[in-house]
Amino acid sequence: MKKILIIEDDLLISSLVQFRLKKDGYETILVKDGNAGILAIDQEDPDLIITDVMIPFKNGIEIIHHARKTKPNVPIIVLSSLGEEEDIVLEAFNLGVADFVPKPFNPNELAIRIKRILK
Amino acid sequence: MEDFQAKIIILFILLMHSSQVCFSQDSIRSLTDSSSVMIFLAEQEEVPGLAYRLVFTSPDQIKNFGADSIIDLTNNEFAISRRFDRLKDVFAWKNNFTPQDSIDSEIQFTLYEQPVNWQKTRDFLNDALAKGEISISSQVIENGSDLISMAHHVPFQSSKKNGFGFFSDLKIFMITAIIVLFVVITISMMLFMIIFKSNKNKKERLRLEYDEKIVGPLSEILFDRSREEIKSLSSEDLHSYFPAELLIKPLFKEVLIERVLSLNKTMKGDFKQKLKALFKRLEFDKLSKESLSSLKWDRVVAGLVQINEMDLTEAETEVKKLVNSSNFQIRSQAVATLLNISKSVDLSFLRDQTFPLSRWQQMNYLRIIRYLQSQKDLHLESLFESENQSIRLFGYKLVRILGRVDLVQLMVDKFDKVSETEKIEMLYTFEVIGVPVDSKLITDSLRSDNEKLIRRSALAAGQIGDESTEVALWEILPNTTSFQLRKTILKSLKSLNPTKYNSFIKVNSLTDLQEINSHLLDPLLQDV
Repeated sequence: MKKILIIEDDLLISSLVQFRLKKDGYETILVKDGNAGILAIDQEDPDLIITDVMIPFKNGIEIIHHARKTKPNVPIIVLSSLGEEEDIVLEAFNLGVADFVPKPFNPNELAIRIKRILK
Repeated sequence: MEDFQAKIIILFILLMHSSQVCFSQDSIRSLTDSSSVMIFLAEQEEVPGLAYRLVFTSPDQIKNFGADSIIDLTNNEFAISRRFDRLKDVFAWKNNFTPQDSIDSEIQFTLYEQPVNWQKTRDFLNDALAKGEISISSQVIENGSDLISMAHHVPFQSSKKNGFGFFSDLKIFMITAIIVLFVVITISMMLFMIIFKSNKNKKERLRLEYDEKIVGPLSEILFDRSREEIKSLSSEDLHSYFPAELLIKPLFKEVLIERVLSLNKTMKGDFKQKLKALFKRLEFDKLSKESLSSLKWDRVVAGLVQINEMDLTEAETEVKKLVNSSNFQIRSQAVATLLNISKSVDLSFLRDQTFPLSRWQQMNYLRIIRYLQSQKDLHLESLFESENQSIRLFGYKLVRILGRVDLVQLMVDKFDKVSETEKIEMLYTFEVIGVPVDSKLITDSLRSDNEKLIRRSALAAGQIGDESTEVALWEILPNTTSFQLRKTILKSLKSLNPTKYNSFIKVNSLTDLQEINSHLLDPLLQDV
């Protein structure tokens, strides 16, 4: 069973995404801030990382940096309400993220993107 | 109520009277208590009629006395000394045989050979003082309060006959009352804060608890049910997600509504439609409409926000009633909501608003209008007919910002009849849009007395002027004293007729003209 790490401080959004992914048969790990996210990346060995950009303690870009150093082969999806900020999008893609999903988003659409990436 | 107040006043007066209130202690020149009597007598020589004896409570005590002491032993229970005419002699004699602080003897007063108590002695002395037979020294203590005098063994007796002595001293009473009141208020405030904080903490805990109870079922409904299924959910099914006993609780409903609105902002596609269907199925739309009638403005605004987010078009009539509310927040939100939810409404409702439009409101409405104008005709021109100048000005701004070239002619037709503030706004719009207008508008404005209007006209002339405006600019230039205005005029002249401008600069050696010219030629500064 594939393991997906979700780093998101909004409880409702993360629960919704978690619910959808569990229905698709994924194991999910949910954390609410950047520090917990980095710890989870090191300890949990996820197959995919979904991270928001604006989260407490460490932002999404720092998470991506860390993930690229420690787990270079793990795909990353960035989920953010800063989707219109071109520089953040560019930086994320330069770091090698697999996808960038701006908010508002459709969880079903996200699930399809995850399925495609993990294939 | 008046009878009760009268009774209280009468009771208070009786208390003060019966407690023998003394308001000025300094005016007393009489003995009041046993201490003052003893101190007075200790300083006195003989007082005619008054004598003293020492009474020993136990006959055994006299064993130590010498043979020259005269003791009356007729009573087996106690012994009485000889008679003394001065109190100081009694003390001196007593100290020879017993320790100074001994309490095994007491002084007996006699008036004309008859034993009396100290009160009668006091009255006798006061009488003598009043007649002037003896005088009182300033060292006598007159303090109204009584102490037990151990050395003189005179028992304490209060000079006040009843128990209301406390009320006799008004100052003490007032101070005590104020302190007690202060303590009571402090304790009340502390209790209130503790209770308030405890309730607030309880509410926060409940919110977190409800949050956890809402997240799971809400996710299930959105993923497992289609929009049609949500609309037609039975009560049983609905309560399987959200128990009935929780749905009746106002706080639970409040948290659930917040979560639904929050998700509505974050989700798109069919999830938004499902959330709207769920909102109606839970009958929260009724709550939102009820909020519009609340007396509290924050509840009204919350209701308007819910109606806006959930697209409750059926609430249009109620929302329309609030667009001219005296409360700024309600008014702003009502206009924004009406623009969003109404399919038929245009800006004519804004025309009738009587309150001035703030810059914040304009910015808010512009965002919505900009989005809506591609979907329907908002009849923007209706704003030009408003009796509210701020609304008319907003209308002219909208023409400029939205690029409504088709409305320029309407503005031109009204130009002569409007105020100078509106003319300034109109000219700015003409300038930005860049549509040439009747030059008479600009030339007439250049000749006005209002410097702001002249400046705006000069700027507009540089963009959309012609030969006649150029002539007008040359006419007003010599009489212009303001540096800013001269700079504006020269800039426009340079734009309209560069050749004539350059010739003018060459033949004019005035310092400020040359400085302005340098400024206009500088590629960095020319637009400053």
